[in-house]
Amino acid sequence: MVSSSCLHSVLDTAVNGIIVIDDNATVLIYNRACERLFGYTSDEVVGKNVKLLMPEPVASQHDQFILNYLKTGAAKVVGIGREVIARHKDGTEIPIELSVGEAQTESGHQFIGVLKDLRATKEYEERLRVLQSNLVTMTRVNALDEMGAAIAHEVNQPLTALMLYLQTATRRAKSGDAPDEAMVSLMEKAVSEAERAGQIIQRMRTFVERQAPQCIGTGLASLIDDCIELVRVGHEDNDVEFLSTFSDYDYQLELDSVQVQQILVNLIRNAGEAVKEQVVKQVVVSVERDNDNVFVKVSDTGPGLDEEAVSHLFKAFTGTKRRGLGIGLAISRSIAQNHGGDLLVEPYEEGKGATFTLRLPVNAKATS
Amino acid sequence: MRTAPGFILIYIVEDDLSVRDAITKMFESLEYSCEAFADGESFLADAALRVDDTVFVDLHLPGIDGSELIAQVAALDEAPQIVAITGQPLWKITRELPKIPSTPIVRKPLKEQDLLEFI
Repeated sequence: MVSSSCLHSVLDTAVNGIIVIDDNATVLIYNRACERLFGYTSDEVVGKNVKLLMPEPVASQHDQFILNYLKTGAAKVVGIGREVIARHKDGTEIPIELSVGEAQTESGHQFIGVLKDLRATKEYEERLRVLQSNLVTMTRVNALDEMGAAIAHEVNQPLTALMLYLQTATRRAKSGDAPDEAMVSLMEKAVSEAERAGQIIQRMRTFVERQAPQCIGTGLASLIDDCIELVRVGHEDNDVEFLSTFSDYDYQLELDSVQVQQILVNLIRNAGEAVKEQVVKQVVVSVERDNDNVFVKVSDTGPGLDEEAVSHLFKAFTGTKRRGLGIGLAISRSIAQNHGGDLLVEPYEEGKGATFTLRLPVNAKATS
Repeated sequence: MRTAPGFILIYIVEDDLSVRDAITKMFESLEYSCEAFADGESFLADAALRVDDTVFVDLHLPGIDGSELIAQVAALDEAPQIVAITGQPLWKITRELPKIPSTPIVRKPLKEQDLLEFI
């Protein structure tokens, strides 16, 4: 048999909270981890009803749960384990993972609860979720913006020519001694339709241009870590190693963090795809700085990009991937340029993977 | 309207063939004298600029950049009137602005009125 002092030392060493109650829900054992978790000392809890540690409505129902279980054997927690909400001394609610076992002892039926604090995990999950949903939204918005801008720009030229030809032709049709009234009327209709097309383009452009980057001071190192984390979530099944060599966590940069994150996630994700079939599967994010610029480099151990591939890389709608719109890099580059920076790919080197460099001006102010 | 061929010349520097042609045809139909160039280099080499002339320059040009060309022309002793035209997005235009502080800019798509108001 294990001695009682040994048992207590085991209880107090445990990282998880451990509580033992009797069949009246009176607390018999309340270990040190519980004191940290709930803010109550052992003296404040032992001898009291365990519902002290629960928020309503569970607190008032708990005695009944035990009675039901003892009578019917219908377990809510015993032997199952589940996520529940506990209540701290100061009233805040704490998510915990609770597993409950039971024991018949000389002094009666006892329940043993093991409690794991889920706050850190929850916060982490929540943060990842927010990051991801921001990114998804931004990617959609930017894809639309970029297409809108591309269409506006491409259509501008022929539309300008069309409008001027039509206006000139209309004038010609009107001149002379006997202008063809029907012809003039048709030409004028054509002019007003060309004008309408022009207005649509202008509206589209105004919409796109309204969305200036939101620049705030951002810690670059944690931003990079976040990006890697986001990509890693999707790469759990293959053993790609993602790492950042930049650890100056005090370094702040003026930028639109969501947009820059989008570029980096895009680059890191691409890099992860590129190394999938390689023997060495590694993606490294590094940072270099000079007086005017910060260079964030994403390097991979993939097959690299030859000149032919590079020449198509930044054009919209030319992607080789089946999934996605193939405008990832085009968007990324225009976001970078919107920040007064740029997105470049290092020249091909035999036997080396690809390296993309995101240049951001120091204290970049948006140019919009 | 001043229709005096030989006195006032309109120059167009525009790389897009259709836009260049359409602008030229438009001015010619109004009996202005008009010369068009596809890039800044040929314009600088061949145009005999006078103070009464008007030059329309597209900001996006192959070779020497539109804003660079405008800066050069504006620096002439008897500089003609210069108007920038562009189909570029706002952020690109904003980036060019410091180089051409006093040049009016007309954005594409445009109508003949947008150009004629400068003549």
